[in-house]
Amino acid sequence: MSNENPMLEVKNLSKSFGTIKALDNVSFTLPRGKVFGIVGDNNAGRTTLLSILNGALQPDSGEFYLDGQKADFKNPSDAYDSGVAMVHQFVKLVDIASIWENFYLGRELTRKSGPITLLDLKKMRETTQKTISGYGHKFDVDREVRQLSGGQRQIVAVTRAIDTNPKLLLLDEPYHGLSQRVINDIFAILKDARESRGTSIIITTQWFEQIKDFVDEVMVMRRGRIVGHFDVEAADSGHIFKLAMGLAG
Amino acid sequence: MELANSKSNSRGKSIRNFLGEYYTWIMFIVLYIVAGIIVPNLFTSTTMVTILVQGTTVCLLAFGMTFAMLVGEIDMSIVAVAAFSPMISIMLWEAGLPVPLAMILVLLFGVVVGIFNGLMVTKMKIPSLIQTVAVWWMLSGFVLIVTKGAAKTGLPDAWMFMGRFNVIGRIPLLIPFFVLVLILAIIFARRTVTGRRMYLVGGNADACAAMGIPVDRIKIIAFVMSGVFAALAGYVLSARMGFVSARFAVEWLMPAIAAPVIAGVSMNGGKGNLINVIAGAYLVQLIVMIVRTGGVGGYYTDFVQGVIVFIAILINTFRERLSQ
Ligand SMILES: Nc1ncnc2c1ncn2[C@@H]1O[C@H](COP(=O)(O)OP(=O)(O)OP(=O)(O)O)[C@@H](O)[C@H]1O
Ligand SMILES: [Mg+2]
Repeated sequence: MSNENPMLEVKNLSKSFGTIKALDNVSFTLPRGKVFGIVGDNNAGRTTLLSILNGALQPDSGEFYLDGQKADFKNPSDAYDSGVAMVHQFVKLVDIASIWENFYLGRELTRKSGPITLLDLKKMRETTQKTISGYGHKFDVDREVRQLSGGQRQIVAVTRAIDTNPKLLLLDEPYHGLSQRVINDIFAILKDARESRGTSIIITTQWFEQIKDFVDEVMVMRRGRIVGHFDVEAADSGHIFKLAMGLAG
Repeated sequence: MELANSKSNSRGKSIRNFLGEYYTWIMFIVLYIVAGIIVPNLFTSTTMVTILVQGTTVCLLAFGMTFAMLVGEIDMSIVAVAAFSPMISIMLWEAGLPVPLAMILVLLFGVVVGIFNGLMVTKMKIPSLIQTVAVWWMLSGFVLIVTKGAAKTGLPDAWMFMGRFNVIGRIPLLIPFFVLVLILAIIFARRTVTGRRMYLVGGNADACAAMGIPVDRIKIIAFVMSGVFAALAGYVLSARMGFVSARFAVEWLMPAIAAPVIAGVSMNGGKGNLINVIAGAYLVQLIVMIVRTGGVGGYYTDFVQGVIVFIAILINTFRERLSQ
């Protein structure tokens, strides 16, 4: 992999649902190791964009390149294989399964036992415990996820995504309905991933203020289009708010 | 800190958890002892072996049903598969197919029906209840056409070897075979990636799909498991009884649904312990047996069995509510 390639290059992506244009000719380039914020009001198309990058949706037209390679994701599994991980707006965990099972959902650890391959329950349990407590959270990883608070669930989802060691991490409003304390925790986890692994990140929000200290650049989306793109130093909250709401001339 | 506290009373807790987890076994044992007071022969080894052997059919069917339930589906075609698979295989044997091939064919029919059910449910989005009832109807109808309703007797010795050859005492070869199959199924469900994914898919298919788990494939495999277990149940029954008929096993459909439910398998998917399904199956088998031998007259048997099974399901449902 050559280092000159940008992490992600999005070219003219469009996606419609019936008559609704959820994405309308979206293009941008995310350099390696950078963090982009996407600000938008409801229905701006943020979830649609991230879902395409994560392989859950396919675009009607346009394409994107990951690390210089044209991506043709048919499902999230393809995206995962190419190093893309996503934390969903409405956290996707199996409520009746334990924390460690959710942590390793879709990427279970196994061990050979003679001719057959069995789950390595012990290792999954221990590694989950170690990883999550490494971020300062004391969880009994045998607990079922349904017993967790919204914040704890989000911590599980975020640490799980980072643990896959993605090249590109997509976060869709990862602090939706959480307390400031948990939001700070999540940003601490993300900053650590960024600094220690150089993970490239796209994070969405409704409020620019929420991500201001974390992102390098910010894009504003409205009705499926990118209506503004700024370096964070040059970004003005008031102006971004107006762009997102469609109030700017 | 929390961890340290929980350790001191962990023994009492783990015993309570164990009893809670294996409650179905306790129900079975209690009922067995209580019934033993009414039905005097119940504690003789002859009767115990009889129950063990007769219960294999409902237990295998219940295992099959459990796999379908784990992924949040249901498989009503199992009793038809249990009749169709051995029946068609035997007819092909009569037409010249060697016995070993005919026996392999039994399982193959289970696999094919399972794949068909799974594909229709996942790709065509047909509700599994509708799909599998339709298949049940078609398969048992097909058997009626080809047999004109007549039972097949005179099965080959090699076919019946498992049911007729006793390993020790009055225990036929099919018992060790049966135990082995159950153990393999339990290991599959608990310790393999695909097996565990059935629980996870049943728990939340959407969350699994988002993490790249091939949800449809897991569901199809679950239907294949139920098809194979149904075929096995049919084979074992025929090897034991020495005949196959069109209405073979049909009276075991309700017990095969009741057994997993009594054992706490969730019909919404994601929950169920196969070890308990064994107890659930034998509990139902025991109820059927008590009612038959306990002097409940002809027309009353179904009703009384139904009521007892219903009570068992109620007890387990309340217990689950309380434990949450
Ligand atoms: N699966 C779908 N079927 C039909 N319409 C959809 C679907 N997904 C999104 N849309 C529509 O596409 C538009 C963009 O939705 P999207 O979820 O991408 O917005 P968003 O910016 O994430 O907003 P929010 O998360 O605040 O709802 C909306 O008008 C939405 O109704
Ligand atoms: Mg959204």
